[in-house]
Amino acid sequence: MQYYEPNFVGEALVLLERFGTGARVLAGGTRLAFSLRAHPDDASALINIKRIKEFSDISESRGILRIGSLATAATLAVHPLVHRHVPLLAQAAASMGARQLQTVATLGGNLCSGDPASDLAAALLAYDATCEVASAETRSPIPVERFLEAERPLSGSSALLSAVEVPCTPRHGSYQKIMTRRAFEMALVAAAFTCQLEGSIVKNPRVAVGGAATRAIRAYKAERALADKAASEALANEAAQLAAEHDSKPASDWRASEGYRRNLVRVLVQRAIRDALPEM
Amino acid sequence: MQPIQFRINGRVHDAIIEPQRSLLELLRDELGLTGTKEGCGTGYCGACTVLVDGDPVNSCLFFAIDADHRDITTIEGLSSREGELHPLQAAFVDAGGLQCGFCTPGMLMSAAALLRRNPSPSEHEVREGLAGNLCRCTGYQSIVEAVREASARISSGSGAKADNSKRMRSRA
Repeated sequence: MQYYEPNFVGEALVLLERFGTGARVLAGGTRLAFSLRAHPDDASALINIKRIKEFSDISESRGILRIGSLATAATLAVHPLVHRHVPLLAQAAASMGARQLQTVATLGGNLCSGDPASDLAAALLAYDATCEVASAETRSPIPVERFLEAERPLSGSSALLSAVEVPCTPRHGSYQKIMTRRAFEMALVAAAFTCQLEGSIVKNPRVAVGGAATRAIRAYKAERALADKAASEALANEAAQLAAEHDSKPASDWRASEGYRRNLVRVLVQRAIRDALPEM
Repeated sequence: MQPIQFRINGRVHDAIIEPQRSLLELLRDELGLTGTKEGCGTGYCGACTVLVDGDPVNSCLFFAIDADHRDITTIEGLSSREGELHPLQAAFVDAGGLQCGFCTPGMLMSAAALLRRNPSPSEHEVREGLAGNLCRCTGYQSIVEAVREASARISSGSGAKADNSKRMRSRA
């Protein structure tokens, strides 16, 4: 297996093109460590992208927060710009796995993992985030929701996730998560809710749920129920019910049954709305 | 094979490694630093915790190639003085914060990192901070007490010495 440490995006993309499906991108490496051990002969090249400086930048410009794909969970948990503009992402990052994981796990790695319970994906869906995908010709902005549609985004492609961008509009919000125990487990179910308020009227609600389908989803029926209505307990309950019954398609597995997950969605969406809008 | 250079417990070291090798293997097999343990090999138990530039990582999942130009601290390097215990180690002895001892090196490294970022953690903060380290023996209570005791001793400038007369609880 060859090893490379490209300094620039262009270099990395050439290598990806050259090695195709035999290329393995090394960011944090927390998942790659497993797959390389399990299938050592499938990989022909290990491409360590951590020298690509622009992937580590976090900056705000013209109302857009740009987070480089190599930002670690530990960085996201404490970075002042993340706290200011996308606080739910900071929360999700701080509660992900455990401290040892947060030190190395990256935003890009988490989004490209295809993990249905990705902690960071649910938080980003609540903010109208876009993924910037770098290919040889161009940088393409792809809404996070569309990016996550692939089972393993960008796998085998000659492209890299370079950054995530979020518009800096002030929003009320809350992130709620249940795990089977305190650490290590990915969220069993997570709910992220954001909205704006005009008086007590809910505007532009976003309800995102992780762990309730094959990937993090927007709960559109819940959002439609909330939009342009006066915030209230009853409204929150209605939205939560819709999210649980109609927007979610949870699996039954060894960790939890479908019914239990649906109930968790209902409870967590309710809690998230109540927590985000305490005055309702 | 790739050449790397890194600092291990304060000393510069050169190595030539296969890049996909784990830091844990490098530490135990190449450097003979067997204080760091392999508990699960999957990043779940924290027994393999070491510090990279002061931050805790699971060395079983950390690529050795990423140790290049970094500062690694293992349990062997926790105490800054030869032959002396770090206050955390002394507190673990006094509080009975270990039984079989297998999780202990990782637990101590996580605790050291915790106290570095939060010198006076509450009980809840200790539990949160050590959430990445599993122990099957103690039930964690004595570990939490040990970390809090160490924090108090460090703040007051006292005790890196384990002392039988300072036993915090008697154990049958």
